[in-house]
Amino acid sequence: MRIRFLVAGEEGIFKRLQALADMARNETPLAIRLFQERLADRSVLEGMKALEKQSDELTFKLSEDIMNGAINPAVLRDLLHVSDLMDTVFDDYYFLAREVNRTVASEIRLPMLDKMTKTFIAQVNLADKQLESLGKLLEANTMDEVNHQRREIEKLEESGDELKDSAFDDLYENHRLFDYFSFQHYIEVLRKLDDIQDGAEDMSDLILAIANTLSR
Amino acid sequence: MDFIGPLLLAVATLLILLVSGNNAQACIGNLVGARVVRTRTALLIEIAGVSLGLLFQGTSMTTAAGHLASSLSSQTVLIVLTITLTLFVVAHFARLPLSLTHILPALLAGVALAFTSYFFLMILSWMAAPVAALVATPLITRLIGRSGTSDFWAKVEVYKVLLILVSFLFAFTLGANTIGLIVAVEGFGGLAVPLAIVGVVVGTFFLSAGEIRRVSADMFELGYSNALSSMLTSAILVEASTLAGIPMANTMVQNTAVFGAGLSYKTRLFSAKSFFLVALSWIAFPAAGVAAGVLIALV
Repeated sequence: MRIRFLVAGEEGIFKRLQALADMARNETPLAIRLFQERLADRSVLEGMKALEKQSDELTFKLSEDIMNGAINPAVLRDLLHVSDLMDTVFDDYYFLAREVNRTVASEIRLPMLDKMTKTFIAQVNLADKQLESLGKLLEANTMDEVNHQRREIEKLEESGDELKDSAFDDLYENHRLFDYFSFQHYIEVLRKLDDIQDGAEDMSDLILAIANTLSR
Repeated sequence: MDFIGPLLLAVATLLILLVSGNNAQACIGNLVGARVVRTRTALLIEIAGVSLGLLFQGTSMTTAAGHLASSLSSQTVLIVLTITLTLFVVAHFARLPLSLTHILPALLAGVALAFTSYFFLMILSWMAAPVAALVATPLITRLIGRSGTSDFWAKVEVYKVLLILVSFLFAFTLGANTIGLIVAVEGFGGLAVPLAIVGVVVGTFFLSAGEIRRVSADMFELGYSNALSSMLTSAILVEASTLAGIPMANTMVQNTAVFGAGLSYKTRLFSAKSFFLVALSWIAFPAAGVAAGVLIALV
């Protein structure tokens, strides 16, 4: 029989982080629409803004509960860091929405748009898979499962790095096609999508460390 | 009119009150520090453990009192307890790691000039217990780590339940050994035990907060298995000493056990200097206590 009240602390926090990881996956269809349609009607921007606001509230409450709950101090800082990284995923997507909207509003000419869009969407899909694995990792209750999901996330991050680097190569090879704003825009989007993937990997590393500390 | 009896009771109760406040951190610092239970619940566990330890096993310390203080008059015992109380208060404010279980038997042995085989057995136990704690804790940590399920949430549940049980046991040994020693020195009859329990309740509730906060913040940032193994080792060693009728400092055993738990980590970075300074006090204070006792006896 499980004695629920005793583990309300760490396990409860893991479940709430898992819910946040699931919520972060709601960004995926919005981000794909954002890059495919480059919307001027701000609908995607508003959707991402709402998610970002919701995440702010949830992670603020989560951090407060981590500080005041039945959490072992040995893992407290790492849990706070995971909560912070999770919030950053939502912030980054919202930043991307604003960035794309800015280029649409400013009517900036974007060379190689189809090719770059494919890369961005591939990066978004990889981040989505990472968030899916992160949810499974947060749901896991054995170290084998934690290690397996962490490796998956790491592989996805490496695939994302490949995509990003090859996109950078393309941009530099074709540098004559770009003005400052178009070049800056692509760099910004590539980096931000890479940040999201790095964040997911960092979270998986921290969760592994937390699980190790708790089960040791 | 004889004032010695009531004075003895008063000084002993005051000493128990201070010791209870000071030692609560050793028993429940883990529970509070690891946030297994709320502070108030931890305090209740402490009070229950110490009180039951005193009631059921406190008389084991009459052996120690018999060997160290039987030849002393009530007046001398009162003087020794008063000196111990004063030293304890001074050490508290000077933030010196003074253990009552070191200073009181040392003073008594010095005053009674009771350098018997029991005295040397006691000193030997004081030297052996930290070594045993240092060796046993990493082994117990490894054993705990290997055993049981691969489901780490189930492991955490078990660790937390065991931590509560072991904290209670450790509080029990504090009641039986340290508090039992004070009551045994003043005499188990009359109001001694009820007043001792009042001292335990008041001291634990009103004087322990600062110590628990400090220790749980400074020392107990341990994983559950390390916290558990250090508490378990300490409880076993102090209980073994109680059964042998030998006073044993809970904090000394526990400090060494925590240090031992630290050694069980593959990668470790800690300040050995502060540990060795505390360890030095375990030699210096009893030696000073014996010397002071002899001086009092000569005067």
